[in-house]
Amino acid sequence: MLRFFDTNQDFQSLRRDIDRAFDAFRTNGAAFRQAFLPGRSPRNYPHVNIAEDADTIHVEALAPGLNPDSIQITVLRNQLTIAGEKPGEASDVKAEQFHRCERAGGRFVRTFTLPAEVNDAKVAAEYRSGILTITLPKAETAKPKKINVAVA
Amino acid sequence: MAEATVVRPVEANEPTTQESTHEPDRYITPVVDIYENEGVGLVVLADLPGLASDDVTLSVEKDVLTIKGVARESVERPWVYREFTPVGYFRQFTLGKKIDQGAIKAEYKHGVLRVTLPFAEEAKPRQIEVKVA
Repeated sequence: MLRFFDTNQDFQSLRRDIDRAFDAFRTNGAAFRQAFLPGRSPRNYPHVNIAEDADTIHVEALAPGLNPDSIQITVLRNQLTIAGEKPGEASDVKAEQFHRCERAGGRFVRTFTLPAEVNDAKVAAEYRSGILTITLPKAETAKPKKINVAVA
Repeated sequence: MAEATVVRPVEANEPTTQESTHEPDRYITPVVDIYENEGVGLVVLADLPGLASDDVTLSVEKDVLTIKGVARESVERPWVYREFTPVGYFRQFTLGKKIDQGAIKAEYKHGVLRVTLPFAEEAKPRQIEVKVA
C-alpha cells in the first residue's frame, strides 16, 4: 500500500522548521534591538549572553551608563540576579533644555536560571565600557565525577 | 557607444550626510540625549556600550558631526544563550552655525559618550552695559 503522507512525521518536521526559523530570528534579530535602557523594554533589561564551559559560567550583560556603585549581583544556587540603576538625565537639566531625549533611566532587576549551580564564594564581576562581565565558577557538586572501573 | 559617467557637481558647503556607512560591518544607530546649557553650549550623550576607547571616533566635516564606533573583537565562548552580539555604531548630526567646532570635547565612560559642543563666542548672549549720563 502506498503511503501518501505520515501525519505524525509531517507535523514533527514542520515543528522543527518553525523552531529553526525562530532560532535564526533570535540570533540575528537581537543585535538590532536597541534596548540599552530600562524604560524601553524593562522586562528583558539588561540583555545578556551566557556561556558555559567545563568549570565556569560566563555572563555578559549589556548595560551602558550605570552607576557602578548601584550594581548588585546576588547568587543563590543556580539563580543569578542582577540589579542596578541607570541614572536618568541630570536633575539640573530642565525639560525645556532638551533637544532630543531618547535615552531613559531607572532601576532594573533581572533574574536568570544558570545551567549549573555555582560556587557563590568565587563569583567575580567586572564593569567595563558599559558591559558587565560576571564569571561564576561551578560548584564542586555540579561538576561531573569520573568513576574508575576496577577490572578484576 | 560608450556610456559616460558624469560626476554630480558638489556644492561647496554641502554636508556629506548619510544614513549608513558603506562598510561591510553591521551598524546600529545609537540612542542619544541632546540638551542645551543656555549660553554655554550643547551636550550630546550617546549610549555606545562595549567599545574600547580607541574604537570610538568622532569627526567633524562640512558641519556634520559623525559618531562612529567599531565593534570589538568578541571573545569566542561556548555560548548557551545569546541576546546580543557586538555591533558598530554610526550616527550623524548637522551642526548649527552657533557651535565652535574647534572646541568640541568628548569623553567615553561606562559605555556612554559625552560630547560637549560649546557655542562660539559671537553666538553667546552678551550684556551691554547702559551708561547713564
